[in-house]
Amino acid sequence: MTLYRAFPIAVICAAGLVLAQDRGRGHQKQGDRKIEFPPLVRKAIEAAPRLSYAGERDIQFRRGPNLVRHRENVIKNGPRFRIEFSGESDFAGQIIIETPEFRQHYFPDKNEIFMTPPRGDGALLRSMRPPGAFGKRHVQFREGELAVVAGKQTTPVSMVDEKGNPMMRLYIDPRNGMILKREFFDPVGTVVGLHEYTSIDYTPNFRGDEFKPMKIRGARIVTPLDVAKKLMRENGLLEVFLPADFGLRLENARLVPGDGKPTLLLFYQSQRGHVSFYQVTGNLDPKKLRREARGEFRTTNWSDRGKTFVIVGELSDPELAQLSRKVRGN
Amino acid sequence: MKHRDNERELLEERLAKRFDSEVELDIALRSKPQTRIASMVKSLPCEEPSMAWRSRLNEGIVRQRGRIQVQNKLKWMFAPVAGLGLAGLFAVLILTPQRLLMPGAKSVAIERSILDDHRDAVISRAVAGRGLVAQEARPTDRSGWNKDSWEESDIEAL
Repeated sequence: MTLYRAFPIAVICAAGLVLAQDRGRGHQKQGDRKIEFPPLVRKAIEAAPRLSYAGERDIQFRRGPNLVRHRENVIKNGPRFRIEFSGESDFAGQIIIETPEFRQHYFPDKNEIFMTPPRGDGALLRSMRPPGAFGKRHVQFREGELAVVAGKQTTPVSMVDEKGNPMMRLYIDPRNGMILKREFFDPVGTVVGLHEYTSIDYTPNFRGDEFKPMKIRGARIVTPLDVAKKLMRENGLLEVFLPADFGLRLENARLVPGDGKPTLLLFYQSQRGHVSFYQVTGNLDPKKLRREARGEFRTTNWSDRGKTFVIVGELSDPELAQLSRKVRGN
Repeated sequence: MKHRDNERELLEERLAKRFDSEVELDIALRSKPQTRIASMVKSLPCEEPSMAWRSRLNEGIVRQRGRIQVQNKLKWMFAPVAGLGLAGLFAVLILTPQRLLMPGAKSVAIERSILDDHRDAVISRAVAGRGLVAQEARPTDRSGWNKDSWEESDIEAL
């Protein structure tokens, strides 16, 4: 009799569990689903490594309350890239050269060449997924009416979420797939960053030596590893790095403005996206950390010798766990 | 002359009356009840009035007044100090960042700053592409840089 009564309840519970699991999987699938790019965007992604041009572009980025902006003179020959800054710029005299083999950034005031791994044109494909798109939201592309950018006719393509809120807008030259303008929006539709070409020449003249490795007498070569070790030494932090799993390469190291205690960021790039590795003096609350991630990023953290380590990125939870195990030596 | 006579008569009359009254008074004083009362009064102990209680009272008042004066002086000295101290404490409480007073709030700030920093880094990297990323941007220190590169005018002058 008791079994007879318990049976329907057990069936209902089991059905509920199955349904709940299925719903969870559905969301995960939705979250992990690859973005379907429209033909014009696909053309832009495919054209990026082949395009050659010379032009000027404005870069704007909202960092906290401030709008940081600068202008770049860009020369591109296929996969090779060179950026210079005019005399009036805050970055006057600095030169960036990137090829598939290397990336160099020259600082004239310090006579220093900062060497980092090349970012490549693959970065364009990765950056087609702005932070808002890493979560469980559907993303769609919508084409707008023609707009003129740098004197060229472009087709605006907006990436919008499931409610139609814009996340990113590209202004693509339909003739060659060149992205002449790109805007990023915050959740309320404010532009938080953009780059826009103000002039462009698709048939520039190159001498060929614009993309050679820099040879500057007496210049000091600095790598992100050097910067990281220096910051660790100066701020009493532990010399801990991420392993090279998943193709992670250290791109930058810097201190994060915080509550006075030094917080170090090691910023890694990989084909899977960006991974930030933070070292904080003191403790953190993992629940709050996950809450602040808003489902856009995955996080993992652990403590060791008075420091807390946090990995934030676009890797899956098992991948983050694997990284943290390796760092801890388990 | 007659006037003088009258005055003498009046005086004699008064003296006679007085004499009578004195005699009567003496007789009354020698009466039994009177002598009994007199003996009773004489038998009473002779006590001189003492002012010791007044002295003690004065001493107490002086002591009390000393204490009150010291208290008043202390109040005069420390009341402004206490006021300033309280004002300072309020100022410290108001100006101290909330995260230092509330450990929980501090924790939130660190976690939020970490995630905001990562979000900013990813967006600015996407914006810049292969160009200069805002977080890495280091303005050129013109004081430490001798700009001796070739200008177009230099080339023309050759």
